[in-house]
Amino acid sequence: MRKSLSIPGSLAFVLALVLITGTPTVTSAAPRTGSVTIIHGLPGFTADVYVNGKLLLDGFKPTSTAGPLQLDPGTYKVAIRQVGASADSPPALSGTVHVSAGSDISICAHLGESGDPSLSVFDNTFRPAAAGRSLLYVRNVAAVAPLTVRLDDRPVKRGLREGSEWSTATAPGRHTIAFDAANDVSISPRDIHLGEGVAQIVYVVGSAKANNLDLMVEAVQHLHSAPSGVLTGDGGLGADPGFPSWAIALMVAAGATLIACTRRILIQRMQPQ
Amino acid sequence: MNRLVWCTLAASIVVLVAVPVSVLASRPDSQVGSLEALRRSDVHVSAQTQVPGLALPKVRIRSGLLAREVIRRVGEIPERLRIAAIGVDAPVFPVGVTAGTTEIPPDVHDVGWYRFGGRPGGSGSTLLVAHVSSGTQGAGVFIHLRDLMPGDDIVVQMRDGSSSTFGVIARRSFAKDALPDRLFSRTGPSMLALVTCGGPYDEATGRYEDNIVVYAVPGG
Repeated sequence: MRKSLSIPGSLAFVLALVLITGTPTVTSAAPRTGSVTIIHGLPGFTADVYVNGKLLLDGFKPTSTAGPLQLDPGTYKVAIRQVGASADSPPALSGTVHVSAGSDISICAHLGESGDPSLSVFDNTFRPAAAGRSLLYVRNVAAVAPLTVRLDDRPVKRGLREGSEWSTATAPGRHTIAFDAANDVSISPRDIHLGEGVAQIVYVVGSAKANNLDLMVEAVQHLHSAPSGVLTGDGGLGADPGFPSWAIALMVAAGATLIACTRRILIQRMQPQ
Repeated sequence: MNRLVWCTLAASIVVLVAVPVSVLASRPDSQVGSLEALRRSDVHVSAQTQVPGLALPKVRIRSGLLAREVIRRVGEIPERLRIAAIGVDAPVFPVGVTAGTTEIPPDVHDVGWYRFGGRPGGSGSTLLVAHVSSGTQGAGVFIHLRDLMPGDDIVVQMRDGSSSTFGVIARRSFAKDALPDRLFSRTGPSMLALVTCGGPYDEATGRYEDNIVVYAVPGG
């Protein structure tokens, strides 16, 4: 679900995936803005981030995240320069991002597989988790060979290439996540908390060669589903009462009396006095 | 003689009308109170809104490193529930989801708190569930939930020793498969929802057809 943006100098063009889906929030009104988060996964590069020519983030440090910004639908030019570089100097990275109402995207500055800086846009419009479950997304945006993902000490995905995403649904709570790749490259296990109905995105950033691989996270909330029911009883003790037996007895008696009286009156009427 | 017959006739008609009317009238109403106080939940809460081309807003910047991630939950964990109006004084245990449905404490005298929903003091719905009855254990702690009326007080004691009082605003009855999602919401105004079974009992399935929901908001 990723489109790579240009590296310096070339014409940048990104189709941010524009999915207008009803995200399961409690809000009844359709969202009028799109949500944008900026992920800085480019080691050793403190950045100035420009949006439509204006300085949005001044001195944005590696492994930081910014946002989420609520942006009106439209096309935005994103340019990233070395901190302090003049606003009209050629950007180190640039691209065009489309924001639509209800979309949720992450713009990620990172190293490509070969080690060149790159800008990617990821779509965070995920399907809701089942009730009682958590979602884990892993995005490999590092200069590293294909990764093996280990969740709670078990390899759950092999061959996750740079630029690709893998996801799973799992039980909420504390887990450990670790990665390894060819040539003894590894990221040792780290604790990660997964919330119910929350998608936790793990970005693998940095460079294996420079020995600065690291993990960044971003959470997408409100992906929970309601359980399918609340089954709180059997045995029928608390059921709505039917007609109580005394009432039924009384009504039967009254009915019988009514019939008897009517009969009596009719007989009397028919008999000549 | 004739007069006696006519009087008896009239009396039996009165009984035939009055008995069913009074029985029906004495039944608790399945829909009482108003949910107006929860209307605010429809307000869209957004972090920032801005117009393109104008001054850019201050953006929240933080470390994205996994190790620095801080989990913060607002609100306290309920530990005991007291409802004087219907004689409830019961322990509360966290529950989750089993087989797609809300987990219910096995003991009919215990109350379950849906731990994936809201907490008292935080936003959204604090959902407490308990049995109305059980075929083997008899009456459950929520057997009289259908008698709660707007204005009744509900006290929730928290794990940290503090307690919060909620005032009942409404009671509703829903078909089991039509429970509103709002009951499980983590956002929106703070409310307390008590849920149990009710309505007609189906002997064939051994289940009640409806859920009874009591809505309460903070403040007695």
